[in-house]
Amino acid sequence: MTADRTVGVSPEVQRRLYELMTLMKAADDRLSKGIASGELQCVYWPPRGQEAIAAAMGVCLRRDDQLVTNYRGLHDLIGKGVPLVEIYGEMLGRQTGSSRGKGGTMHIANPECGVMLSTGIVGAGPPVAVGLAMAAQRKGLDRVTVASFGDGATNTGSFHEAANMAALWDLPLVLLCQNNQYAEMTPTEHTMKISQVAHRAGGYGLPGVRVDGNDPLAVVAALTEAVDRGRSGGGPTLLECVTFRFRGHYFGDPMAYIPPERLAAALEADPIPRFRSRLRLAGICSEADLDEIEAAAVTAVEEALTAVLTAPGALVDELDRDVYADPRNCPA
Amino acid sequence: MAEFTIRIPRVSVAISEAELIDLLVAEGAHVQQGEPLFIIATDKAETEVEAGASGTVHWTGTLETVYEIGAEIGEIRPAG
Repeated sequence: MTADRTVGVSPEVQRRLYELMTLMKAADDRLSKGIASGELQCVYWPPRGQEAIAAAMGVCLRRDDQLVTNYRGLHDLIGKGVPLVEIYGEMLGRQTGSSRGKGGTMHIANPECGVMLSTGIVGAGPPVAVGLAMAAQRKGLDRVTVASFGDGATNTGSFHEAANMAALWDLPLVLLCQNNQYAEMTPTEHTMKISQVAHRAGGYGLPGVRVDGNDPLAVVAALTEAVDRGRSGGGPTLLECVTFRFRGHYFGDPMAYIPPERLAAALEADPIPRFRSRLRLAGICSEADLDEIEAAAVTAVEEALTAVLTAPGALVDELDRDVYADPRNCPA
Repeated sequence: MAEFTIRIPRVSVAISEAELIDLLVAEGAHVQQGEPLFIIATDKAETEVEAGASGTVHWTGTLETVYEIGAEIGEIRPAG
């Protein structure tokens, strides 16, 4: 873990981080409750526990900076500013969805917010992010691309190809590993010999940094440095944020493979109550402020869900729209 | 508040149906949101499903029947 790099994050930014984290948690809680009771019908890979990382992205990235995330992306999407109505709409197959309801949970994109792709294939994101970063470099734009993926993705060939090309061409890219310590159902220590994902960076000649992914201020500090490096032509960074996912791989996962004491320790390190007490002790937010932030998050989520549930379902016409330039001229 | 429809939940990614194997609240009894309501079985596991609302439970589903995910098996009517 890094030394204290948290000096200099303004009270306003710290408050914003908490707003984002509580919104991500409220969105996850409501979706989880709805799926568990049969009220909502969708598939879902919950990021509960990983909010600090996505909130840091929310305050470090510009709107035109680009993001490639994956199926466990609810928090990343909220951090990057995708409206909840579009996220829930896509998950629940409604016309309010970012792809008008035909993409589903695994395929949420919103180019206006910089979210270019969510992928359902582990490790498929980094090469796409390399292409986006290469485009920015060739066009002379100062935007940065972030590829967000898990520890398991760093064992795939596509991750290594992407890291190599990004380093070789000094691309404005942040390879952001949300190390939640399990690749689907397999613990990290059973899938790699090394103790830190960040060590992989040395093999490609790019900086590798590891931080406490449950500490939003530590992630902000490290991500700011990585983004500045990319924006100023200094090339890519591999940033490993160590965290945990509290609800398993997919929603409904019985998590029999996680030792109870390991889960208990992870829950003890929940980033949200930890940051809440930090804000209060630092005098940045009062108890009443924090309660208000949490209540506002729950209200925003309920309003979004109501809008989605009253919206019409995805249209059959959507099935082949956007697949071909003009589907009428393409044989089925 | 309107009635809450009790449905077979999607408790796993790759399932299309589940068997209703136990009702944990009797017909006409009161349930609090979050209390265990019924149990379903899929090829992977048995799962206890919590009540999504508070009120009086009315069942339309039948035990030992396989239902599609999302199928209605009853409702919870708000008290009063």
